Amino acid sequence: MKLLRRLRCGPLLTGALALLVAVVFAQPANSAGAPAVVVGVVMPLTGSLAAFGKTSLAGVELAAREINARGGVAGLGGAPVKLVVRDSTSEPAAAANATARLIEQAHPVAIIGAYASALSLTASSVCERAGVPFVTMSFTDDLTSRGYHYTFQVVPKASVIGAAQVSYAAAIANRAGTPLKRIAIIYENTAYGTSQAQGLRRQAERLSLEVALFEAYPHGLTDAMGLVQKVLASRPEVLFPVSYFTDAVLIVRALAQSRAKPQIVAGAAGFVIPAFLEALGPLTEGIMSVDTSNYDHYGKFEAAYQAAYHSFAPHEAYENAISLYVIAAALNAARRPTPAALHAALSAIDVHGGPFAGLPGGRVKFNASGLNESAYPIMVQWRAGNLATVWPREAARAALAWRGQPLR
Amino acid sequence: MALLQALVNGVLVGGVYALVSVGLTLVFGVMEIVNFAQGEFLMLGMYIAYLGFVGFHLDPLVSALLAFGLLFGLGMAIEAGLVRPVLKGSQLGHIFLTVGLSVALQNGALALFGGDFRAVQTPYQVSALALGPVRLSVPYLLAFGWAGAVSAALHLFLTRTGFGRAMRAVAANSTAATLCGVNVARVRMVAFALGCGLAGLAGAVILPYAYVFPTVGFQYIVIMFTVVVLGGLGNVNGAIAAALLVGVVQSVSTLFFPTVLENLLVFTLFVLVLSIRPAGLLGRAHAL
Repeated sequence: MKLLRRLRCGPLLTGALALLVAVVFAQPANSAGAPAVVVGVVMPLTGSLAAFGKTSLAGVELAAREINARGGVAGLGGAPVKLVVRDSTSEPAAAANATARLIEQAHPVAIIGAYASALSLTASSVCERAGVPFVTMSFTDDLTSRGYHYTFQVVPKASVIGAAQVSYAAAIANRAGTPLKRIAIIYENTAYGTSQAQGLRRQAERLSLEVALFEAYPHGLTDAMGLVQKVLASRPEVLFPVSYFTDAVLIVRALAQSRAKPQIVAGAAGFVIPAFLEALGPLTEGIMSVDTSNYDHYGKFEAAYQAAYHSFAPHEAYENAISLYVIAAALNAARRPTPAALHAALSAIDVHGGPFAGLPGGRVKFNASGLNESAYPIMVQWRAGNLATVWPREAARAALAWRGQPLR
Repeated sequence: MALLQALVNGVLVGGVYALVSVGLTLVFGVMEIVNFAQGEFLMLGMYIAYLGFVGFHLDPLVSALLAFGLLFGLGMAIEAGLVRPVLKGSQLGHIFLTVGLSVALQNGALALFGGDFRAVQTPYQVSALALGPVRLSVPYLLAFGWAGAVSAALHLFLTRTGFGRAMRAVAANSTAATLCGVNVARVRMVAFALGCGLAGLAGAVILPYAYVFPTVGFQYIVIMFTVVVLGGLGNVNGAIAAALLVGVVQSVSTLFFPTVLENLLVFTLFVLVLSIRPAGLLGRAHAL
């Protein structure tokens, strides 16, 4: 009361209050009535994956801002999207706890998370039990092969990504006139690493390539000299690493110290983020990686991300933004802000174009197991400090270099 | 040939392990306190070197001295303000304090620097010296050089200076040291600060081949404790010997076993050594 009286006394403050009221009521008419629809976000904001969690969250936040600026979810009377964010940390058990608490406290209609496969696996289990849709851009096959009904994977699964890593490389080698024979595969022993490496190996066997080395390593190496010595001893033409950032940097640096330099064709994650360029600079030149979205077609999202964060939008930022766009589109169709209605709408959704253009395939349509089947991987290459799409050829905007030689 | 290369790599990596571990064992030797925040001081040293590189174009190997100085100062403040009050209490109090300190420093770094991965680019970080058939990684060689210099300096300090001798006296028997007129509180403060400073220096030295983020210390802490316990808690020379052994065993084991098992042999050895010599390789030194 005292405060109110003081407010009334100060004409300036009263003016400010009036302005505030005016601003509140000046919101687009369609969003005035509808209560906000809560979407949960569970990302690793602390621990070794914090950098990825941060960019993932940034993507979702940009999407939410854009959706709300356009007047919210039309099908829900213009309800704005409200994000409730929880830190999954970089530990799978903690990710499950964070998800459970989020559901209990905020009652979200859906949850987006949790970047790393190992985290998404536990978070999605909690969502499945609670009957809350879980939308993810994590790679591992297990997400959509456990018979879950509430997990939706917007990107291709790890085994498909791994297979593309090999078959695209083989196709490029053929085009260069030096068919691929001997390869080495190294991967971190996590949910992401192992499932993608399985895809790599199976495809290599299908193409009758000699897998000279198939080696797991513990995530979070303190030095990669021993691992790289093994790689070099196997004398591969192409090395396929599946790594997050820290190990990726150690591996690339250790390789740079050797005489033999196999072509690197990486499995996304640590190899396609701005920090990789910052850490390695010119060493990135020519390194290839499979990727799950196409930077050339991010459209307005890329510009908004650049303006807000002063770096290019990494794929996890875009794909997590897409996750929210899919949820918004499904809410629009569901017309009721409940997890059950949203689940039904997500199962039936078929959207394409617009913000979804950056996903190869340009479309989101989930199959019975919750996988976005139309999505396929592409190949990118670091060229002069930029990630250029180089394969498949119809998607390529830049000429590629194979094993140090330019390829027309 | 591969074996020779693995041996050389192992020795180089072992030198780095010695550098990151020596501060931990020193603090335990003098204060009988296990500093669980040691990995975080390493992380702070890395950030100091990173900022020095970005802001002032200082090579991390040079800003290592800066990191040492700054963390030495921070260590003194922490000893006086936080450690000293709990030193008289139970071991449990020490553990809670240093674990709490570790969490606080991690989250402080997260708030201050964000969760981003940071790394520096130096011209030597990807070069290697060819020595006949063996290649010596230059960044590791430089870190190894620093490790050698620090070990030598520490040895001289502990054996040739009055203060160093006082430190060893406190490690051997603090009551007797007090009776002989040694200012034990001061010795402890310097020992703790030295431990922090050395961790900071190590962090700066390894930055050229590594990377930093708020919880990077976690990746080194297991190695630190393995080395320190294997060498004999509180034994500086033991820690150096154990570090070299761990480095070589890890490196050679990757030749014969899958990389994921690189620590299997290390810990098998660890268990064996401790079952034969429960006090560690060189024993629990009473003179550091």
